[in-house]
Amino acid sequence: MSQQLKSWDMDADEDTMKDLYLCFSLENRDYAFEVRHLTEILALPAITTIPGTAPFLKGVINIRGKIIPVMDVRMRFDIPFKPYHERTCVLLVELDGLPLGLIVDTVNDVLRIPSENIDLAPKIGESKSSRFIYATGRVGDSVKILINLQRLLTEEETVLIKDIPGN
Amino acid sequence: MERDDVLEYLLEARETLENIEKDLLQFEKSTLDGSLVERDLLDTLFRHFHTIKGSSGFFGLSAIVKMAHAAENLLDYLRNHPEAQDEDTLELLITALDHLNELVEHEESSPSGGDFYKEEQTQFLKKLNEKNDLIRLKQIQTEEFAEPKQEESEFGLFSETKLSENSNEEFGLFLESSDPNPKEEFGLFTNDSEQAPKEEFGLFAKKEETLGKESLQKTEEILKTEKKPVIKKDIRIDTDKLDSLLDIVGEIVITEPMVTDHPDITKLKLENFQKTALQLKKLIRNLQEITLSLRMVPIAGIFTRMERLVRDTAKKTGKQVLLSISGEDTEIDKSIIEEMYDPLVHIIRNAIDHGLETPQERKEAGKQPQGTIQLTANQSGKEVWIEVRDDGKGLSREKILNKAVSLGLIHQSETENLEDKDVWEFLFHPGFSTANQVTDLSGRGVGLDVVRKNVTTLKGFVDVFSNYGYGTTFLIRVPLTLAIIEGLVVRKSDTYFILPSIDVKESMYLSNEPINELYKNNHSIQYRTNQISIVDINLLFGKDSELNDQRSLKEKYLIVTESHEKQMGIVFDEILGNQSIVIKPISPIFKNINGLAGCTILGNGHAGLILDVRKLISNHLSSVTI
Repeated sequence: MSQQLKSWDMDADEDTMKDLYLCFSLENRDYAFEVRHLTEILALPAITTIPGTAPFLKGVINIRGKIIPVMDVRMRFDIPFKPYHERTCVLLVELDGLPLGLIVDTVNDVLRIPSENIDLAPKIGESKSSRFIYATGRVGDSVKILINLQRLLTEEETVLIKDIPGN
Repeated sequence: MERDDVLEYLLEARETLENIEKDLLQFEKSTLDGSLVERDLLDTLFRHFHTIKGSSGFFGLSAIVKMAHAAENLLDYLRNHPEAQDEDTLELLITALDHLNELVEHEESSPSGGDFYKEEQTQFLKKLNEKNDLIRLKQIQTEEFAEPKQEESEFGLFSETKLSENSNEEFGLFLESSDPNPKEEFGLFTNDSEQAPKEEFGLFAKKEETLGKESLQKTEEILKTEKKPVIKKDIRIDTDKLDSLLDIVGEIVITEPMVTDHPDITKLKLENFQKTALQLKKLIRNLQEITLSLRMVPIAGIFTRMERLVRDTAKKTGKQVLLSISGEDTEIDKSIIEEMYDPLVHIIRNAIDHGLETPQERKEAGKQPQGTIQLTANQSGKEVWIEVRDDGKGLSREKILNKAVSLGLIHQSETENLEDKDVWEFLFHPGFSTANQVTDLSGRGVGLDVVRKNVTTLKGFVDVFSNYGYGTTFLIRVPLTLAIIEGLVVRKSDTYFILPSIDVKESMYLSNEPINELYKNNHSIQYRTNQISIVDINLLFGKDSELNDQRSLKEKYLIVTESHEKQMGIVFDEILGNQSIVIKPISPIFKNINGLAGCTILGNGHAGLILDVRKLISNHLSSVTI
């Protein structure tokens, strides 16, 4: 089990960050991803909508002079859209050198989940949102859903975006 | 050796080669008018080749070393025997330069250990070395004749070392070997240095004082000339660094009013604070100007490259051409300059090949046998105008029209009424060539349409003017910089858009204008004498137009945009005004976005979207017909 995980986790050399996960919630469900991807947590700034793109790509924001695209993670997971409120957060991550902002309901905390507490997710169907989940992590009595950030932006989406008329 | 280091060096080498080219063209001028080349120029050329040789040797690029070494030898000979200057040596030097360019390019694209990769190159090197041997042999023979004291045996030694040296490219020895010292001392010297390892060279110089002094002087001289022409001090900067500097300065500019007009202090009377704040404002404005100017470089770089092109093209076509350049210190964004090279090459080649007549024809037409091409740059507002003017035979209206008719672009009956400028417009049509035959230079199907396409990508324009019998002028207008544009900031609900000012024709209040709805999603309005299509952003990006159900358009604004003489009106809620905009790219995460040219950050901290009006118009108008 841990063997498999290692092969997924290519950058295991960052020892201090090892096993650290950032937890956030959507619809009372707890998700987590490896903290090494995270660069910053922000309150949601004004979003500039980009016309003609997939609905889950909400647009761009200005972070100290940098223009960064933001994705609504709820909509990405096919959870109905909920209006943003003052606790709505943007998690700035960097994926393959591309900065991306993830809009989530609430950020909880950073937890250590040792690899022995992680179970690869069972393959139950190939539903749309299960593609982003790769494992579950046990923390005390609760279970965090571990997501594979890279999958948030996979090639399949290109087709989806292409289907939008006008493109 | 790290590949990166090599690449960086090759970039440097290219610059040196460009300098060589510039100097060689100067060389040619004096060769052609029969005067002797100035010593300074020879020294500079020699130094350039020497630099190339030295540094390439360091990187193990042996082919470049050999070639540069041979050219250096020839130049060194010229330095001491300026009377040997002729067209043949010039041609050799120019060809050597071409080969060096080729070698550098080859090394950049496919690193191959730095050796020759073409038979042609080895052949040429042989030729160049033979020439070197020949002229030296000649000289020695004459000297021998003048100085019968010279002993045969020593002479034999000398020429032997010379030969072996040429093929061995031991460039440390080079300076001494071509030293025109009296033969006796020379003989001694070569013997000595052959036996003695390098460290002993210092010793040797002491021993042989006279010779040592002379060679020292020579090295000093080289050192001196190496230092002397410090015209400008350049430093290579990673463009990423430059961009982040631009970003930060942009932020400072935005933040400055946020601080100095902070709501917490606006009600306070702070006279001294206001003074300091004003000072800060000034400094920040200066900072912004300087930062923006960092990307700007004089256009001289590509203009001088045209000299070579004109020379070669003139030679090939057998025409006499004088290129006169002016305004070469006009500054323009570096990325634009690079894109201007191909269009200029094409236009100038055309001008020589099709525009200018042969000397014979020119005489018959009562003109100077030598044709003139004027290449001019000047700044006009936020644009740079680049003009290529020839005094050739001009465009033939009849010929172009015949071709246009034969291609089916226009009907014979319509040709009468066309204005000249509309006729010239056909030249930019793909596949349109008036060349009677395919030549080495033109008529290969790559036409002015490509020129226009290149310039249009830069948000520029190409126009042509012609006076039959008197010449043709091409005028290219490009913006000063691509990183910053002037834009009209508008708002549609809570999104800010920027329309490049260059595309905006007029803005108007929609109050009482009658809007015609032709069918769903297709609205038009009477604008001057035309019906133009009006749209909103939703429609442009593939959703239903809000104009369908929204009849309360009275409060809205219409921006009339134009591209390639097609007009379209876009409806917005508010116009905020004109602004200089720093263009930033949109993240590649947004795939297939058509119609956006980029993003920017506005004074209010919002991200604004820059519309690609040209694309929007062509996309929209191809799907709708009025």
